[in-house]
Amino acid sequence: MRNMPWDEELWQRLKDAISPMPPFARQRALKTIIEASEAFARERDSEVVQEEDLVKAAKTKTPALTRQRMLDALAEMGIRVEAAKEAQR
Amino acid sequence: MKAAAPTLVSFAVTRECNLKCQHCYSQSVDSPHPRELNTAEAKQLISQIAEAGARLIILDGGEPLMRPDIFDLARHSRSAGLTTVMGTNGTLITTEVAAKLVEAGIQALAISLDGADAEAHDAFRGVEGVWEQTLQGIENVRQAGIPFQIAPTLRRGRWEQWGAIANEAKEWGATAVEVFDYVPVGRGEENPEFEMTVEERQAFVREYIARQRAEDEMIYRCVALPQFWVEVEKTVPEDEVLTKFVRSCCAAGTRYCCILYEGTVYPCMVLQEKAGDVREQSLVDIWQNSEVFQVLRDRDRLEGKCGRCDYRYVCGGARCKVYAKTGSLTAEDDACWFSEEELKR
Repeated sequence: MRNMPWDEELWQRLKDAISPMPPFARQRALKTIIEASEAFARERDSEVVQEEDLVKAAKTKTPALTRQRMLDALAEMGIRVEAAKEAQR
Repeated sequence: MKAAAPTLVSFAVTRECNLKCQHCYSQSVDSPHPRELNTAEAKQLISQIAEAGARLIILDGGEPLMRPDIFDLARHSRSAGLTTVMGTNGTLITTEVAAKLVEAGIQALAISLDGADAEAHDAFRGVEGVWEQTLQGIENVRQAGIPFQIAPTLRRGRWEQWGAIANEAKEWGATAVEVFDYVPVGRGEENPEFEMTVEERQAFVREYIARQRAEDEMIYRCVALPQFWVEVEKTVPEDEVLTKFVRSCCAAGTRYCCILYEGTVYPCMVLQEKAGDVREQSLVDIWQNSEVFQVLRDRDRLEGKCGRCDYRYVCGGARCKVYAKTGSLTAEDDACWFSEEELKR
């Protein structure tokens, strides 16, 4: 599923965040968010996907209808959605 | 910090029920509560649930089909944009009622079935002959084309029947089986002997995992047994966890809450610590500001073994059972079977 290294704690939190989703919806969401996170990591020449990549992916690549849900789920698992947003400004 | 919107909210529309289940969390009887929300109040509440950002509402009870305006409430819920489902004992679903459920826009049903045979089901449900009525209700639902899931309750000495129920559910075309662990609240408080032992829970979880791993279509979920997710993570390869398993508990106060027929808001139907009253405050205000919800959302406030557990954000212990036994929202769950070492990720 992953094509480059991830911060393992971040990966665990992403898995925890999406685990209540029905499997079909989850697979689509995961594919989108993994690809986008890895692309953002490569864009900034990082060899590892970090929190900022995941949050940026969730904020820009998640379909609009489910974006807030995804961000809320990540926040529930301790991912710093707001802090990362500030960092991106 | 503003809390995320609830994903799902259950609204127990009435206390009235045609059965006398020994484990009934809402202490349902054969009459409505004298202070039940009237039609206008119930519609207003449903609108508030939508405004709070919830996506899904579960209309349950009591037996929701005992409430004369239930179809009107269901229609209102759909027009408010909520995915609208119903929890029912199934006994009142004739072909006519099934057609009305379709017309009112009910999108799925959860039907309780607590035994693989009439004897086990009827004894637990308190009325002879209801097993047959429930089965007929299921058949009527199936013929009407309403998606449905079967919801058995696990209890001591009888938990193994859930496998036979799940087999039947698949044959009937159910989309899911949602298993409830017995929690001694409401009328269930009078029957603590039904609560499974730790060993039985452990055995159930292992059987549940094996069944889900072997299953490609049916989804299994369980309520009030959050340790199952720890067992899933420890024993199932990651790819399978991501593609097959659904973490279904505990969302009390974080993604879910329950509102009783007279307006009391609880974190969960089986975690009955009052968080507010919709006749006194708006649901959004209660959801955002209730101290009960604040405590449940902060898993770093958990105590003892639960507080030290690396899985506290996905398990957190069965808060309902802890509260029923200790009156605390944060005490450790002494029914957890994992050692401290096993609770390190």
